[in-house]
Amino acid sequence: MTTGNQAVPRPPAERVPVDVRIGADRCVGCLACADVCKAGALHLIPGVWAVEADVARCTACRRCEAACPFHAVAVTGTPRNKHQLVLDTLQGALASTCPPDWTVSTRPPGFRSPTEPDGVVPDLAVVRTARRGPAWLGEGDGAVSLVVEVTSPTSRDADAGPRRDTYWQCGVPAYWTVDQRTGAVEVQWSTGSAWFDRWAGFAFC
Amino acid sequence: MVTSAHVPQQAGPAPAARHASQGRHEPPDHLPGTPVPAVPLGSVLVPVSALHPAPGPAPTDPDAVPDVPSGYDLTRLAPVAWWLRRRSWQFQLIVPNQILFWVVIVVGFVGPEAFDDNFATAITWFVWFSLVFVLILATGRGWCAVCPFGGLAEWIQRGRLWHGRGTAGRGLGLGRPAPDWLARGGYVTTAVMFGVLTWIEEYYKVSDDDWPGRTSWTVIGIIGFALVAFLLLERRAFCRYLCPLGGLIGVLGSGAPLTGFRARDRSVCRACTTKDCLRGRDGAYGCPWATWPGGSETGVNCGLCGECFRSCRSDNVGLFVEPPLAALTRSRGRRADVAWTVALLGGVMVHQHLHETEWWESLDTWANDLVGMPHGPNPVLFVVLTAAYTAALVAPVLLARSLFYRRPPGGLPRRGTSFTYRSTPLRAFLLPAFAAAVPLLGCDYLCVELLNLFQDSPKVLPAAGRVLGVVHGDSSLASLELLGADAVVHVQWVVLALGTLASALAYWRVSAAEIAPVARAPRVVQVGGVALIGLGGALLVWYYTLTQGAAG
Repeated sequence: MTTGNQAVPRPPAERVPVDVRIGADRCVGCLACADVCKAGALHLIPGVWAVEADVARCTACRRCEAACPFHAVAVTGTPRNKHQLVLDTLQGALASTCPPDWTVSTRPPGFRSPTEPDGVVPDLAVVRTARRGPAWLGEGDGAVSLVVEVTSPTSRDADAGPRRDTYWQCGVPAYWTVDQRTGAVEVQWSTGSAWFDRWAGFAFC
Repeated sequence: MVTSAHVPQQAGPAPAARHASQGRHEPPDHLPGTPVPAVPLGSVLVPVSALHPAPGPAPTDPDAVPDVPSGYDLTRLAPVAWWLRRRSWQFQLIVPNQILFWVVIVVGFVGPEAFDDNFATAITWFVWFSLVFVLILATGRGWCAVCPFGGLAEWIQRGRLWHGRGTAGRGLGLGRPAPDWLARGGYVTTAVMFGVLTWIEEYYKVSDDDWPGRTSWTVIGIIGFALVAFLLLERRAFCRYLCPLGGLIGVLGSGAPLTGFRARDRSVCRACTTKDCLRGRDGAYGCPWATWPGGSETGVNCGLCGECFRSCRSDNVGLFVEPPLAALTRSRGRRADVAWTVALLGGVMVHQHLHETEWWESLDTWANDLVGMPHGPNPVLFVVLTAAYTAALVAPVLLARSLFYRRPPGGLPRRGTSFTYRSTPLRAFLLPAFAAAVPLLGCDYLCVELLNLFQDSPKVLPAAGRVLGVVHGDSSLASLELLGADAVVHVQWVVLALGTLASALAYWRVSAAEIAPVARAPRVVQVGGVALIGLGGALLVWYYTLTQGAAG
């Protein structure tokens, strides 16, 4: 499928967005679902004996579905771990804030890399203007404005080293790393003349 | 500065101190080499609460409902508690009804052809259909606890007569949850089913002076429908969503003194992790009516089966009685499906009233000629009239909402997005007002049956004697009337006066609690609503006087 840097970028993997539906007439507000929800995504609607869901928190583990005695909870979508949860939240926030013609993608094509045949695929990329057809990031029609990596203890070194270098070489102007455990965000800007300038960083927690 | 401008309050070490870099530069105002974006990316920084799923808001009791419910707990009486602990009590009450209904089915086919002489028609239309409304107004879902339709179907669904779960037998039901489209409508479907049953009854003249076998076919039809639904769906989904009488009994009985099984202390229910009352356990089923005693505030959804009372390990469930109207006027979590059910049931009753008049009969004949139906009631007219009545009920509420709605500080309370609970300005006026109409509607339903009860119910005795073979030929009891027609009308006046008074009182209370906070001139809305209820009561008194009791 791939031959060095001539490879066609792989298509984004299909992920079904998480959705939680609560049957208002079935739900009696017993909170059996909330008792088993580790993400804290379920709570009572004030004034009503019925539960509502905070989809942004839901990991689609479906424990609530199994716990509900009256089949009042229906969860759809691809289950997501903490990494994906952080990514989805970031994507939603960025998409609602960026100009409408920008694209915020959590499974973008990769950047061309001399060492990795499939390219380097970031967790999230913000691209200005629409892209037409499959192409390496940074080489299509759209210009990449931001790349985000959600880091875990195992990926932190790679995200802070080789991957960041690749992004810089590909002309990415801004690079964020988000620690999925602590929520700390490290913002790095490319000056265009040197290495990434890690001039700023702040924690969210 | 992008970061300082957009995230000034973020905690954390200073950027320079936290990240020593190879070369320090002034941070750019925008991304290098790109035009300044309309919205700087720095502004999308997400609050930590969104990034990291901390525990959600602590579960709270809706509107800070008191942990200890109001009312008197009947299970504090030792004999009552002892009786309700027996699994067989419901079976013992259902069996006589069951026998009676099978007798009705058989006698309807093989008994005398005269409507008044046949036990099936006499017991069904002269006694049962009258007493069931008395039972509704007194006990709410008391009839549901002893209903032979649901009783038989539940025995087959569970594969047990009165034994608890896990003790014997195996049920036949598939146990599928009710479809979403059905559950979403709440009681509205049952109101529609009641309308359909009423139309069938009037079209085939089931309750009129006609062949008694039609009564038997009606009972068989309902039992068959219940059986199919119980075999397909879980628990008593049939009673909640499909039974033609389910919504009628639940809604009209919502002001009854018996307010069902509820938690003695809600805090115990909130802390309970097993939820045996919902899931069941060895020897007890989970609530067949899909109701949680910990959240139940009225008897609308309580079928009085007592499964929760028997299954609770904490002995935290009781059977409560309250003053009439107390549960109806309690202002928490009103449901739209209940309000629309009130309107539809009212429409069906208005059709029954008009159906008795000559000018409606001529209208029916005209409509039937148009569509080629042999006789009335014309279904199109039935639907149009019900819709028009519903619109007529909504119109004054809509007017009040347009004239007097005032957005409360902080807006309307958020009640979710479902059809059942969604908050809108119209609903803020409509739901309490329609709830207050329940007592008058219930009394109207009762009044229609009073003529049968007081004038025809004695016919049951000779009809029963014929079944037992002790009465042959005519009986003097057949012509006995408990009350004369004029006296019945006077009783109807009293019942309607009580209903009007109860509705006015209920409206006064609910409008003060629920409508006043969203109304610019609350007193005008209160007085106007009471005046409309009085007008409705007066119209009904006029109607019953005009039709001399209006036998249903």
